[in-house]
Amino acid sequence: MSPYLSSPTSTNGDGQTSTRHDPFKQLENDPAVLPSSLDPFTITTSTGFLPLHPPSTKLPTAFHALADIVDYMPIAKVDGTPGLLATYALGPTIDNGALPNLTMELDKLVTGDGLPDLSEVTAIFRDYAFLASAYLLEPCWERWNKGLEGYGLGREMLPACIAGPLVKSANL
Amino acid sequence: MSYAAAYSLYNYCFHDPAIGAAEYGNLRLIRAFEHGLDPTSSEAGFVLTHVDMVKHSSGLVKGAVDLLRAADESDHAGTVHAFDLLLSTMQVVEKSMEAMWTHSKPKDYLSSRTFIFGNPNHQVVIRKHPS
Repeated sequence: MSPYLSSPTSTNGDGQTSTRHDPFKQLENDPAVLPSSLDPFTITTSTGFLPLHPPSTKLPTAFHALADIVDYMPIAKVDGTPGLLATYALGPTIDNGALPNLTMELDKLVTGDGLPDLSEVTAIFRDYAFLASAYLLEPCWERWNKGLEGYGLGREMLPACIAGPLVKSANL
Repeated sequence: MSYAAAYSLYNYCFHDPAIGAAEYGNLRLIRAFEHGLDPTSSEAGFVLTHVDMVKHSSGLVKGAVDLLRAADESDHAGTVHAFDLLLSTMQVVEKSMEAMWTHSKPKDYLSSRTFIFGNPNHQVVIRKHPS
């Protein structure tokens, strides 16, 4: 058996069952029966480098404030009407306290076995990543959109209500 | 931005869940900066073409696994079959990639990139809040 393939009875040189993390453990398993506590980018022969399950589109209830802001954020919202970035209103919206700091809410996203629900956590990371880029680079977009030379400079500070959960969800 | 966990590979959904990722035209973005929630926009085309390419990557993983197994077992036919799977997968990935600039206008990328990496003169730094 190739050392690069996982074996259900893999042992180390002393005949002891290896406890070393095996990145290929799920390689040939059916993603449909794998728990959402697994890293969604666990590689299998049926999903390749796509996530194990299609990405979550609805965030947990506690993150509705985040979902609302990212729904309203695009230059054109899903219904085609202008969103916050269209009028450079995202920064003032965040700075005026529209988004509470939800860092601690991430601890509550666990699966039945008590492990972090990495499928949900990754969806939340995605939304904070979009929000962080949009918040920092909104002034560059404004400059570009007004036809001024270059992109200029972005905002210098990422507020804790974005940075806290972004870092925490990334670390999970 | 993270390519896999945010911008692209964790940012797609299906217009018709029954079709799933089988057809490019069934793919939609979950999040967007510009006009990406319109599936015909350049922003959607840029991101969703990446998703369409990566959806074939199971063939690369399976081909690699099959190849190692066949070589380990000195299985000549299995080795050839695994190489065939790797080659045919790369051909469909390449074909999908060739559609990039019909799904996404290159000139629009100058606008989209504003939110992806900023620009070389950018001086934003992440630092601890002074408080």
